[in-house]
Amino acid sequence: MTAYDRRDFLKVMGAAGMVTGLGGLMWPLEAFAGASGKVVVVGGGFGGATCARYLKRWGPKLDVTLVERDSSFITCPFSNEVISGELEISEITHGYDGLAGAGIKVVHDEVSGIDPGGKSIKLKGGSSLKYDKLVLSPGIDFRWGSIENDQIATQEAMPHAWKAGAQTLLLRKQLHAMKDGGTVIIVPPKKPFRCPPGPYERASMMASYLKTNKPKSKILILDANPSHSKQAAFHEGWASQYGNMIEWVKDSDGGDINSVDPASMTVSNDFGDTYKGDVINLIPYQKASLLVANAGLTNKDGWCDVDMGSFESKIAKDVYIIGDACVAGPMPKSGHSSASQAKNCAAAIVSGLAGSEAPEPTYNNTCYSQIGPKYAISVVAVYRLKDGEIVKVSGGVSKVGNKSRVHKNESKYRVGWYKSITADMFG
Amino acid sequence: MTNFRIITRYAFAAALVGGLGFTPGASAEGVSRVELMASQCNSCHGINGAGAKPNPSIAGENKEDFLDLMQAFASGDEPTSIMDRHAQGYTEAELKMLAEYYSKQ
Ligand SMILES: Cc1cc2nc3c(=O)[nH]c(=O)nc-3n(C[C@H](O)[C@H](O)[C@H](O)COP(=O)(O)OP(=O)(O)OC[C@H]3O[C@@H](n4cnc5c(N)ncnc54)[C@H](O)[C@@H]3O)c2cc1C
Repeated sequence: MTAYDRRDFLKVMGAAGMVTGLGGLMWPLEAFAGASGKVVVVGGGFGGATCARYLKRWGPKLDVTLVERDSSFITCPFSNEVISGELEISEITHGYDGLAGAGIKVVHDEVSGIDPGGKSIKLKGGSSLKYDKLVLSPGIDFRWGSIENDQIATQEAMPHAWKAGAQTLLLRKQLHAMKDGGTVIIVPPKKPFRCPPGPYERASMMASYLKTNKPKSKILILDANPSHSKQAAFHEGWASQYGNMIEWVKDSDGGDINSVDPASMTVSNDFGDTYKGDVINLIPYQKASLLVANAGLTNKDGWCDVDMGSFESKIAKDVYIIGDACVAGPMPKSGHSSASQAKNCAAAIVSGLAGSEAPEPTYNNTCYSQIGPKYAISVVAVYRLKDGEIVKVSGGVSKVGNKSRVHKNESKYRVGWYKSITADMFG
Repeated sequence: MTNFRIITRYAFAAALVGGLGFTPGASAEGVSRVELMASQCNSCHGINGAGAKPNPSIAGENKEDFLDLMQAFASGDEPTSIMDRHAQGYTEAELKMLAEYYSKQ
């Protein structure tokens, strides 16, 4: 029975005031076993892995395929602790066996094209895959050139480490090789970007390393924005943990960097100021992944507009876009947001294919940032859908003036968060 | 959980085939509101709320205690690092649904 038949079935039965059953009609049992159909999910990160698992959990009969380029996934969350040396990259690397074990077909290949009309995707390996519903969670790509000389080659001298992996290890190597008394420069991009508190957590974790190993060093954050995520709570933490080791310069005070020179390891602003760094973490401006851009699924700003309840693309039917690539109102581009969106999307798809109404959407976000040993802060929000838009209904940032006990608890619960969310993704 | 759901689905189908009376529920085959709400808790509290140390398990929690604690978080009566900011986002009816749901996990 197709989804369409099923919907009609419910409608007809409802209209007839069906309360007495079907008498002697013979219905194949499996017709009532829930949603069926072929769903392909692209991207095995926070959005995609979560979505694939919930599709299978809520729609056990669904044929779910996950297509992911890499054989394992390295999380950006906790990668700042790899840079500081507290964690090894192997501790934040996850395999896909748990997804295969849950009955999801896992294909390791790169998606090279999407054909929404023909309901199929092309793989670099040469084959193509048909779908009834397609979920895309491919994350971000960089807007090379937004800052003069910030080209892809620049990432060797000035690593971004904004996709975890080789870049994370390169930045770690540079930090650990720096002399005591050196200057680290962090250049966050103009909003919007993946993980709004990320650059400031990174400054904290670098400071934690430097405080013990190279205490005469400095960290300069040259920010293209007038303010930053969890600002007051970060600044309070920095002052208490690191004195004046970290200096934050906002856009109008000279933080808005518009050109870089990898050869001389300098960055410059509009005012003509040039800053020299021993280590420079240049985080490029961002946009949705090239996969969705090349498929014509992005808006003029480079992100994907979606129905904020189901996450179906506003451009292509039966194509759903979740995670960093989509525009989800006030939800930050975080792993937690991506997972939250993934579950709403899975619920909409499973319900749709079962011919029933999707449940009212419900979303949340919890982003912890580590400031120092036993010291973390958070931002939390619960969201609802109102008139087609996601709106925040509760939440906020950890208070300034919190007792050390609260910082300690947040630091503990941050670890529990990581274990929970990665288990939810990878099993 | 999954097995249980499959069993209830088949029971539902069997009831139909057998001609037993029922009222078709719109979400009987899809995902219920409480399942979707509860799934949002899993990101910190583990799959089906079963916990991931040091984050507490909320599965199998007594439903009165669950509701009472969530309301105390929301009002500020119970000190917490982050649960006040979550609890305030749900209506009493929703908290009751979640309490009922987790008491059965
Ligand atoms: C330093 C740092 C710290 C962070 N800390 C946190 C944190 O503490 N908490 C938090 O919630 N978030 C955090 N984030 C943000 C989080 O990492 C992202 O928001 C999240 O990864 C977005 O999920 P996604 O599914 O959109 O993309 P991703 O998780 O990046 O997944 C995308 C996947 O798609 C694959 N892919 C892309 N294109 C293709 C293709 N063409 N074919 C096949 N596969 C493809 C990629 O290989 C990748 O595996 C942090 C980010 C950074 C940079």
